[in-house]
Order: sequence, then structure tokens, then C-alpha cells
Amino acid sequence: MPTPSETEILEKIRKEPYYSLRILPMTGIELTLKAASELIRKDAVRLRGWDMPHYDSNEIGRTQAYIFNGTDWASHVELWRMYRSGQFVYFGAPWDLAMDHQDKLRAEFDKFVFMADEPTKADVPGVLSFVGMIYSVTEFFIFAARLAKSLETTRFSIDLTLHNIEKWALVSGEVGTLLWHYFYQARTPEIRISRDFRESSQVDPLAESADALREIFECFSWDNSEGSIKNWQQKFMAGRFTF
Amino acid sequence: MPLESRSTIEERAKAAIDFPAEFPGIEFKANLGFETINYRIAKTSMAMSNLRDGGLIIVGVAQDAMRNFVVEGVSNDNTLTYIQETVYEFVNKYASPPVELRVMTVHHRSKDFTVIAVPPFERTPVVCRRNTPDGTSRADQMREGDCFVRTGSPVATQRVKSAEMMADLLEIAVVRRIAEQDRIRREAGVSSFPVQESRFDNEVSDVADAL
Repeated sequence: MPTPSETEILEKIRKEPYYSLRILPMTGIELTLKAASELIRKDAVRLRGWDMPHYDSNEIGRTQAYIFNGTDWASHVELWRMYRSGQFVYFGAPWDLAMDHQDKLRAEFDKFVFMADEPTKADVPGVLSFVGMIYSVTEFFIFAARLAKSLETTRFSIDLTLHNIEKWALVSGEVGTLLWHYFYQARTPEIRISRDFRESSQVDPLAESADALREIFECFSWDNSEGSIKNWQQKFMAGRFTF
Repeated sequence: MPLESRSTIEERAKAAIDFPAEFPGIEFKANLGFETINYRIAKTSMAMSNLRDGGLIIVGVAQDAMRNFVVEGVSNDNTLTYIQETVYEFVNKYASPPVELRVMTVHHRSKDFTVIAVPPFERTPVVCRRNTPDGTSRADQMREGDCFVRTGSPVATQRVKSAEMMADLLEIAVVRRIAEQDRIRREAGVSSFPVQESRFDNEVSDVADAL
């Protein structure tokens, strides 16, 4: 059973769009809890002022089977578990939903997205920054690749799902940089991405995340996203990180 | 791979002397001083180090004209020639990486025997790193790059000269490397075994509907 603190955070996350991420090493592994904690500390991706997954040694909870950390602070509502088996699961709300971010994104949508008429826009329950999605999904794949490397597992899999996104639409979230006029809307309640890697040492997390993002954006009816994905990934990574 | 304890080596040597027969991991030498058979000991040490479990060279057991084993022991004079440092330095003048051999005297059946215990290589198979001097007898000659192995039928020390022989050696190296990685992982708090995929699903059963 989830511990009380996990239950509370997970219930909050599940009320709106959220990511779930599951990373499975296809090598039998038995970690000590200490080793599991050290793996998260070492492999967390720190590219934008908040680590993925968020590691705070003072806040990490322990059960016999896994360590976990739940956060509900500022823009960050997330829960992760690292099991002794090497399995990692993560649930997180997009940053777009917290504080006044959604109000600002909605204002951007209402003002600049003119490829949809007003009744159509009024039927949109919320909007998500595709730039934020590029950053998050890129972080997920970088973390997965690092974890697989640390666990010395040749084969591993990633299951990434974007939940509760039916009728939600995309905006850039970067008004100062990119005015976005297009109307791309999800028509499905969730998007599931599954990848199985058989040679972890050859996985390029940027290329793999770009491919996953292309698949996600196609579900929003955005068919030519490759250039934007590459452009924003380069900005995300520029000068700050070498995998 | 660490050497076995002294008592274990002694037990193995005594058992071999009691029922003398050569195997890839057991080589008998007659009662001869080290300087007489130093090249053969170097060659055999390198070959035994390339065995999965290493081996023993036992000095003091000869073969007669009918190839029967004669348990004669080693004379005091010859025993004194088998000094640990001398044998180690001579063998490792040729062996790369070094063979961490150990020389000891075993007393059995009222006789002394010199036993050279050869451990298996740790990470990399052992190869010869220099030529023997000009004029060395043909049987003792070694060349830079030679890789010696022990064969079972007939029991002999030979250069690697077939794909099968090399495959056997590489397999030992791979197994050794995997064991080393497992040890590193255990020391880091990680241990591994065949994956049980059902375990992953059971672990997340309480949050499965959120995944």
C-alpha cells in the first residue's frame, strides 16, 4: 500500500494531466536501500534548477522494498519510488499546472492561438507548454539512460504515459521567444510510449526522447514537430550537459 | 584469483603424489634443480595460469622408460634451488601479466617435494612477453606473443594454435570478468540474478492504476 504521504500526493497528481514513468532494468538486481538512494542522488538530471527525480536526502522515505520521495512545493508535485529490484516509477504533474502558470498559459492560448475559433477554444479544459514537455521528456530519457548505465543492465525498458490530456491543447509557454498561433489538441485521454532497449551502452537519450516526443505530439495532431523538438532540445542542453 | 591456502595446496599435492597421473592442472617433474628446468617451469606456469583453476607443478616425481611414475622426492641440494623469489622472477620475466605463483616444500611419504602452485589469471590471459635467448634448446624456446595452454589429451603444454583453443581461453576470461563485475556490484550494494519480470508488476500493484 502507498504510505500516507504518498497517497496524498498521488491523489493530487491524478486529478489533472500528469506523467507516469516506469523504468525497468531487464537484469535481475537486488539493491540495498542505501545503494538505491545513492543511485538516485548520482543519476538525477539537473539541467533547470530542479532535479529529475528530485533528491533530498532529508525527505527520502523508506519501506522494506523501496525508497521514495514525494514533493508538493511551488511548481513541483511529484512522487517517485526506487525499488530494490532496480525498478523506478515516477508520477509528476507538468509544471504548467502549479501556482499561476496555468493562468498565464491560458492567457497566451486565448490571445495568440488564432487557428481555432472561440467556441472551440472555450471547450479546451487546459493547455500545456510543448516546450515544457520537450524538457521533461528529455530529462526522463537522460535519467533512464544514466540509471541503466549505473545498474550495468544491458537491456532496459521505459514506459512513459501522459494521462488525463483529452481536449487539452498545446502552447509554447515561451511568449517572449515564440508566439504560437497553431491549434493542436489531444483527442485521446492518454498517450503511452513504450521503448525497449537491448543495448544500453548504445542508447542516445536525446534521439530517443525526440522520437518519443514526436509520437506524443502526433497525438495532438502536430505532424511536423521534429524541427521544434530538436531546436528546443539544443537550447535545453546547450553548454550545460554532456551525456 | 587468490591462491588457495597452504594446507589446501598441500592436500592437493599429496593426493596427486599418492595417485600419480598428469592432468592439465597437474604436472610432475623429476628430481632436478631449478636452473635445469626453469624454462619448462616458466612455460608450464603460463599455461596453467590460463586454466580455469590454475594448477600445481610437483618436482620429485619422475617417469621411467615405460612412462610409469616414480615417486623419488627432491634431494636437499635441488630443493635449495627452488627459492620463491628466484622462481617468481624467472617466470615473470616471461609472463605478462605476472603469474602470482607460490613455491613451497611438501613433506610426504618421508620425502620432500617442491610444489609450485599456479593460480589462474585474474582478468587477462597470460602471454609470453619476450623471446628466450638464442641457443635455448628447441623444447624450451618461447617467443614474444606466445600464449600457452594446457591440453588434456595428451596432457601437454602447447601454444594456442586453433580457434577452439582460443575460444576456451576467451570463455574463461569472460567468466572471470563477469565474476569481477559481480564482486564490484556486491561491494557497491548491488547484486544481480536472472530477472523475474512478474516481480516488477507485483511491486507496483498498489499504484498500477496510476501508471
